[in-house]
Amino acid sequence: MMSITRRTILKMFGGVAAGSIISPLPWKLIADGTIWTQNWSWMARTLRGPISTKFTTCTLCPEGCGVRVRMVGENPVSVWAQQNHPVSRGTICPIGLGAAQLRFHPARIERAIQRNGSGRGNAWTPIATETAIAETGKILAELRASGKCDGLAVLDLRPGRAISDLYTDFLKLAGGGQYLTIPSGRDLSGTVFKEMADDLAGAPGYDLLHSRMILSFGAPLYDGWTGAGPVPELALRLTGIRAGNPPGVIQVEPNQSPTAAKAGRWLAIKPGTETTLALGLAHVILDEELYNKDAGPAVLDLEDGPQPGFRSYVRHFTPQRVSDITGLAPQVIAQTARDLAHQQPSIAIGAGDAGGGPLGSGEEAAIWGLNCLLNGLGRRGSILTRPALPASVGKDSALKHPWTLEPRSIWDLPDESIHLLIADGANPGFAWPKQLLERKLAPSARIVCLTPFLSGIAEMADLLLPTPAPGEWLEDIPPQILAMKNTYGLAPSINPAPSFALHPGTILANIAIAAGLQPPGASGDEAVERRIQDRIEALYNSGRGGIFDPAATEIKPSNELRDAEELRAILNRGGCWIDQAEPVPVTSFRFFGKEGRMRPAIECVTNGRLELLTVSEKEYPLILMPHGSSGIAGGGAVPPVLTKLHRESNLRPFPAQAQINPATGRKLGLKNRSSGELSTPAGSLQVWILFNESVMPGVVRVATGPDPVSLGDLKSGKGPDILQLCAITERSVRRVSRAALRMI
Amino acid sequence: MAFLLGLLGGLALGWLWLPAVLYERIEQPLSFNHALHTGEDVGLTCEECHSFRDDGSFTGIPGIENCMGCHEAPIGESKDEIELAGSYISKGLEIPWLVYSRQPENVYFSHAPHIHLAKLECRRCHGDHGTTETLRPFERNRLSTYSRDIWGHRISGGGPDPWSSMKMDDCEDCHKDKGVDDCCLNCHK
Ligand code: SF4
Repeated sequence: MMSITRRTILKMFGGVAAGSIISPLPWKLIADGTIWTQNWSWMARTLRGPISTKFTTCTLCPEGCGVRVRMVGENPVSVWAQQNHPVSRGTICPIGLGAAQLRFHPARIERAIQRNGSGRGNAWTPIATETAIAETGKILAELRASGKCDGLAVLDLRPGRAISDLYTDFLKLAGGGQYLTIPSGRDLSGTVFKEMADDLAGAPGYDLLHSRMILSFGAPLYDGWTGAGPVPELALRLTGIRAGNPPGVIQVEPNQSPTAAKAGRWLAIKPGTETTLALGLAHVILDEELYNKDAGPAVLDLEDGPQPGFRSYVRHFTPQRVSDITGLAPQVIAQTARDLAHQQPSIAIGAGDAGGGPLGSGEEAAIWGLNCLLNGLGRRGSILTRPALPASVGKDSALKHPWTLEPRSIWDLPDESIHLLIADGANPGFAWPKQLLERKLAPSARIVCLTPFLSGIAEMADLLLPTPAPGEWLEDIPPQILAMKNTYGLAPSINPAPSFALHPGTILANIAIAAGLQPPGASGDEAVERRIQDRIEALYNSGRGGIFDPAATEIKPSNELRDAEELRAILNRGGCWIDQAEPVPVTSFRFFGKEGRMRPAIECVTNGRLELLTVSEKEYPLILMPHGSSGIAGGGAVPPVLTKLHRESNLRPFPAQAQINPATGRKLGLKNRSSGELSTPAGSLQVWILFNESVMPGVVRVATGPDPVSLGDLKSGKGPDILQLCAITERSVRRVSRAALRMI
Repeated sequence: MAFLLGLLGGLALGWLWLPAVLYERIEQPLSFNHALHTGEDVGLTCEECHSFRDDGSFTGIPGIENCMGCHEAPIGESKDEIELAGSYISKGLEIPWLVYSRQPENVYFSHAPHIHLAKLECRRCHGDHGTTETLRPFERNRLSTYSRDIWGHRISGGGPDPWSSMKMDDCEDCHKDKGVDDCCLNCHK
């Protein structure tokens, strides 16, 4: 019989351990144990329930991409592109892909809050919604009583929606006030076009998909310029190019952005010299008689009149002179002009990018002029002008206006003139300099923001009232500026709004009541419903256009629908109305605009932008260029999963990074991946220096978004607001500023 | 000797004791005879109960509506038949079947491309389930909570047949064989 000693027990344990190791015991327990840790009660769980699909429209930025949403029970769990949608053509951007996360965004406001103390500190305390509304109503009543109703302003960052009607109705009820917006680069581009095209009844739009050659002045075509839109077709065209053929896309941009890298030809132009290049191209086209003046609208100021005509003006912009200013070789300039003239229909596009801001009136005027010389105005594949949308008869609308009132640009307002600002919390899709809004506020002004998230404009507010998040309320999507065709879509609520969220229309009605006013008719969702119904009836009654139904493969003419209700039903299930009306012809055009109003804007930037010429290069040796993509630059909440793209992988830039060319870094004695201070005459910010070959030597590139708060990282606070360092000129133009960078 | 005994004990723990304690055996709410339903007497085809809807989605296990077509009045007097009529059909309640092949919720699986495009037979993943005369107990992993069919009935995982397990590796292997391009988002949406 075996005696049991300590040694025997140890041996036995050794045997058990050895036996277990060659059995599934430890391995299976490790595998299942790992899954077990995912099932702890406090871990986020995937939802269970019946799975269904809803088709709708994304409202996270103004683009209005068609999306399909995978639902588990009542909950959206993932978002995908809608195939064949006329606006987004089967694509969506990373923000849209993560949209299902937004309901749970850490910056979501779950009750009314007010800022502690005065100033713009970052501490908030809860306040009862009724109290918040009563206080706002009181301020409004005081403004009315003291005859200062002009000090009331509603800021609508996405005008043209049905909710926009409620904002204007509110102002009418209050007896005055300002209906404001902040124009984007595309707005500015459209405004300049209207200044140049005489008696134009429509709005210009780019017909990119049918053009043979695109000359883009810095527009990030492949990287969040117009959301997801025409990218696949453009990409296909690029990849189809064989060596020796003219390029499909020519990108004019100092830095080798993703669009520049993919373009058939990249013109690495010196920052701020786009106007000179456009005029140089015009020079070649006119000099070599590549312009057919009988093919487009009557041009009224091509030849000399009381003032020198455009032909005389561009005579001085020889390829050699343009080369000296832009840094491009004279032969490249001449060849580009010839390619554009021979590969018609061709198109030159401006409008800037969502982070870098508008190009400027001078640049836009020169680019529109170039389009005229390319015989592109009113031509398929170039610039088409869309007619106005069918007017809404507005059964219930106090204002009875078509769609919505034209908002006023905030930049046109006198400084310190706003006493009470009610701001809509929609993400405008582009960055804008907050300091300019600050300037318009009276010292005691209050900002009340109706928003689901504490990000973007909400970070400037004194009082926040929670509204439903995207997808939790019915919204409509009007056509985009510079879109080729009018479109109209709906985003019905796909999951119910939480009880703490109040509809912006209801909040406005309650503020009016608190101010002693009597709002007429319905409010909230019901009022938006009625405005939308008016619009749909107007579309149907016009007999114009067709309707894209996600369930069908073709666009059905609207006049084949039974009634407006059928149109409504299709829009409700993720469809999209698309105008088929003939473009409005451009009859006459002036290179220098009506009464030559664009001439000074063009003349002052022909040697580059003044912001660079008037600041000491010795003190500020670099050129700061902010940039960003649509949706992300706007400062609104974005899905936290984007942190993977923007912070963890560095695939996309982050605002705290100052990207410079390694050669510039070495010349200035800077080290890659070190802490630095970026300064301009307007101030300084701490940044993270990052060497990047794709940045032009002498340039420092900084992204305008997403800041940590937009991504849901509330503890880190806001990222650097790079626009505060930028030299800002007319209407938020801030593409280039002189800057210095040093290590700290 | 002691080491050898320990070794045998260790092996027994891993190969015999572990499967016995790791899996909780849960009886199905009712017994169901696939062989009878698809046999000559009844003559149903698989597709009559496990069908595709008009929108292309797969119905999975049929709802009580399907059963009602024939069993609105009990057919015979077996315990299960009485239970079916009394507890479910008369009350319009769904039968809470335990699905052997249920993947975790982070897996997106669509039957349509596998049946219509890849032309896989049901048997490729579900084995002889369609010809069984009774429903075996559902075995639930006490740690992971997944069905035992996902890992496979062998405690070491997998088995000789293609339907022996339904793990990610199995999906990947089949995709590789068929030349299907994989990306994470195909199955984890
Ligand atoms: S581009 Fe705008 S509308 Fe389109 S998916 Fe992205 S966030 Fe949504």
